[in-house]
Amino acid sequence: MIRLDNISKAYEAVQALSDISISFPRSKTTIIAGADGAGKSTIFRIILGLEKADSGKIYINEDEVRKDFSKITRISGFMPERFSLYTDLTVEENLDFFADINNVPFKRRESLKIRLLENTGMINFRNRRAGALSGGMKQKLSLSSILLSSPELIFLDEPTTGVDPLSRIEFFRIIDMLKEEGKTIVISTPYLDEAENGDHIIFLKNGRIIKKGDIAELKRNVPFRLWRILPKGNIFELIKKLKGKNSEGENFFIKGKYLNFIGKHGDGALDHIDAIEISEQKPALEDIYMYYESEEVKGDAGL
Amino acid sequence: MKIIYLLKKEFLEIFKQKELLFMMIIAPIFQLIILGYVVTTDIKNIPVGIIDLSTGKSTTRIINRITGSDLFDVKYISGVNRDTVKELKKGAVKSIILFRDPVKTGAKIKKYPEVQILMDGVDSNSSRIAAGYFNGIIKNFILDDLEVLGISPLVKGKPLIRFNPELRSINYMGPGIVALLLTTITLFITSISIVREKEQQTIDTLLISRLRPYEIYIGKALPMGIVGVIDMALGVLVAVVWFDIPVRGSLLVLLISSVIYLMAILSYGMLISIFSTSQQQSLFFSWFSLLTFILLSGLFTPVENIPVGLRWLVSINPLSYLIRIIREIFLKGNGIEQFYGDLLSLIMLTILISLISIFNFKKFISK
Repeated sequence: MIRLDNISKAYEAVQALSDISISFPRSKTTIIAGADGAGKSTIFRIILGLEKADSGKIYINEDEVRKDFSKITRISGFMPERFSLYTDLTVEENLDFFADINNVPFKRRESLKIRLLENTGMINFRNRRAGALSGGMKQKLSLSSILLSSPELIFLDEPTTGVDPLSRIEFFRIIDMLKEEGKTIVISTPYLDEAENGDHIIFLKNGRIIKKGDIAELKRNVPFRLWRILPKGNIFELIKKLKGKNSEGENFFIKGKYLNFIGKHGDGALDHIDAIEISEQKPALEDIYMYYESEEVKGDAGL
Repeated sequence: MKIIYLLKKEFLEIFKQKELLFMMIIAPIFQLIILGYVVTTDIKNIPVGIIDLSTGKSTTRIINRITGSDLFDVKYISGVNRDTVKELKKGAVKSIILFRDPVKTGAKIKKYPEVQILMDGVDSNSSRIAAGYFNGIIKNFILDDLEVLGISPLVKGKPLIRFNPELRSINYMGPGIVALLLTTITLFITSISIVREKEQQTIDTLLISRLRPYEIYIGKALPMGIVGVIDMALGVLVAVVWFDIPVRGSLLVLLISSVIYLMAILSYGMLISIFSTSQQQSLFFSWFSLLTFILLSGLFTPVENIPVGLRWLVSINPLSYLIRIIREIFLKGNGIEQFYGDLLSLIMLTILISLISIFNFKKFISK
């Protein structure tokens, strides 16, 4: 449906995106995962014509989009990272305004609005000022406003950043409903646990793709093994010691009270660790990201 | 035309913010009333001290004329000399009139005392006017005396004042203040319109909606235009009803001229908003612009006082044209045939500012 070919973008001295080539499969959920400043929002802004790419091409259904981005925006809904509705207007007034400017027919507007408010659990808050809503509710209102125009493509830029855990669960329940309706969804997130909700993933670091693919596929073909270590002593002193010891020291990561070790060739690096428990684990997306990120660092360093 | 939806949203936001509504509609009326009394070129109640050291009788008659005038507020009449510089430094009086016996002794001259008028020149304009008033009183006193003696002056100018026969400064300042308030409200509010959407990130939502760029531009500017016309109508009403300023010309021409001017100000406000990255920045730009517009408009000081080399600044200031036009319509009852030059210049300026503004808006949305 939408395809980006070799997109690059720089903001003065900062290279926001470098040679990005991606596509978003129809009726699937694609996750763009990466830390802050990885270039996630820039991808959305370029797709929607809010920013111009320095180089590269954008295609929609194999037609190149050069100037007229309405071909994309007409079938898309975009939820920016920050709450971007009118805080002085009520929930319902905001929805009415978005329905107005997106040509939602009057006939089906009311029923659609009620359905969205019910599905998002906001029906009782329809007369509340948007600025007075909680963080989670604001995000649900933002989502509802873009869903009013029944977009085929839904772009969600860090939709759960700053949202409480319960609202996050609720939010992804709504995303699941949209998936069932066959919508093509693209979500950017810095939280890799959330990425588990997707079908495809793009790992982004400093504007470059470090890995992309089908999530189930990536999980099946993990090129490393993962061990979980519960150390006896101070975890920070241990990791400091390990990182200075050998090249494999870079493959240890702290995760809560545990130390994770990502290795390709078995558990030789674990021989001399004073631990209460060492067990092999099934890697999650977060571990897969950590692996490819460390590979990228090694590549950059010429290791 | 989806502009109507944006208009509806803008007005909804305005009506929800009671403070903003007050600032846009009620505050200008209060301001006009207050400024109408404060901003005046009339000099009244000048605090005066009188030191009368003369022995003649005529000083009493002159002093009576001074105390009887509402131009002066006589603080003291002293028969003994005082340190005049010290008195002026203290600030209790702005001028001191000193009467002495004349040094020369002639039959006719002896009748009149020697008069010295000492002025506090810090406020040079007021001092100049007050000195003129004193001289007028003394001159009239002598002329009256001469007439009693049967001596008429050879030449006597008799002023006949048209358009503002009572020389009320409010008649001159009032219409200008209406134009000033129209500028203040519309410029400030328009200058935050786009930047507010930028800060809230709602501008992206608007840009990717089905709204066309021109609909966004007009939809953001037009509500302030409507508010401006309402303010203008209320301002004219206050000027006429409260201050009794005559409107001798056509209200329709006044409306047309104001709408053309509003288009220039709205475009300029939009331009500020496009370039600004925060509301604070846009308000600073607006304030700076407003101050420049006022100082170069001829509202408080005549344009002729501005050095010739800088007068081109007045010719690129839309407020200067509106003030001239509005005064012509209010006081002289003039029509387009009298001020078509100013109106034409205003139209040209409006077109130029609008084009610059629209060009930059297009650049902003296609970055």
